[in-house]
Amino acid sequence: MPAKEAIINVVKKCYDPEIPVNVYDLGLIYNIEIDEPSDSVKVTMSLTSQGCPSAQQIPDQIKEMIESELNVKNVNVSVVWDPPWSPERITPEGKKKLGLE
Amino acid sequence: MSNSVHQLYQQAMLAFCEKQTAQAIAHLEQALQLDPSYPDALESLGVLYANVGRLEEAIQMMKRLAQADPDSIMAHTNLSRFYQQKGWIDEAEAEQAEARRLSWKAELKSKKDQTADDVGARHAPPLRSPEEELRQIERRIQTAQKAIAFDPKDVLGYFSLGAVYLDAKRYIEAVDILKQAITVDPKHSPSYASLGQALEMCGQKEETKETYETGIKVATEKGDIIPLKRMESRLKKL
Repeated sequence: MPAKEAIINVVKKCYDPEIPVNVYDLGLIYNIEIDEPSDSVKVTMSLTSQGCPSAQQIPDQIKEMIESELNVKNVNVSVVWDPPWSPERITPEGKKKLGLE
Repeated sequence: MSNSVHQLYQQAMLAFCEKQTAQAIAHLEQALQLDPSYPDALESLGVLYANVGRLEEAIQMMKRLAQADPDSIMAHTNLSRFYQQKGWIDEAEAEQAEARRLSWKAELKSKKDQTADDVGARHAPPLRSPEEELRQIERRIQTAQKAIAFDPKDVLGYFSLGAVYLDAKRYIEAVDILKQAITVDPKHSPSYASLGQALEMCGQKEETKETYETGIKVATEKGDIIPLKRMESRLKKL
């Protein structure tokens, strides 16, 4: 089973097509749980708004990338709206890229 | 900004309310001749140009607004809308992305300012005696009342007076004047936010909720992020 770090590195390759910052540095990933016995990973995330056009595309992309790049059998990505995402969750790297410092 | 520029702007708003679009446009064009970077006039004129089909001129106004106010969310929101009308989808999406980026920037700044205010309030020593404080409040009330008398259709006078009453903890008067504010301009979202605050302090829970709900709709339509977030946060706590 991959370490959390490896999963984060894969998630950092995923983007909302409209935003030039990956979903991890955008602060969309709330939690990553690894369960070794069942060879499964659960990612809890949110989106920048409930009307986000990539609402299905981004979670699907994350699931596919973790499955294929890290050879994980069961990947579950769930989107939550509580707590709501806010720009405060953007990482310093993300803020720098967006000129939000 | 001179009084005459402000007056021209107010005349334009009145003309617009009376559905005299050509007259409103003329007043705004005059205002911009006197002050070419007056943001409110640039935005309003751009919107009016678009409304009458003068799309190229509308785009130019919003570009000027973006230059005059680099943090203007509405400049980019409107540019996105206008580019969509022209069928320029890539350009529209780029402007929409910029509007979103600026709205996040505004939200982060608002949170930072709020934290600074909270810290300041906890640690700042009192700078004025109670008597001086009262005199200050009275001066602010008089200034705001003069603004209302000068132009009874300017929502800002009512909003400013409401803010003073809130600061002075005169909540009943705040409620009264802020209700007048949203009668004068039902689309002024900051007035809903302040009215909700005043109603909360008066213990009017149901009316507070209704005010925030209406205010949230108004702020959402207009893209007024800061009052929107403030009202959403207060409504949740209710």
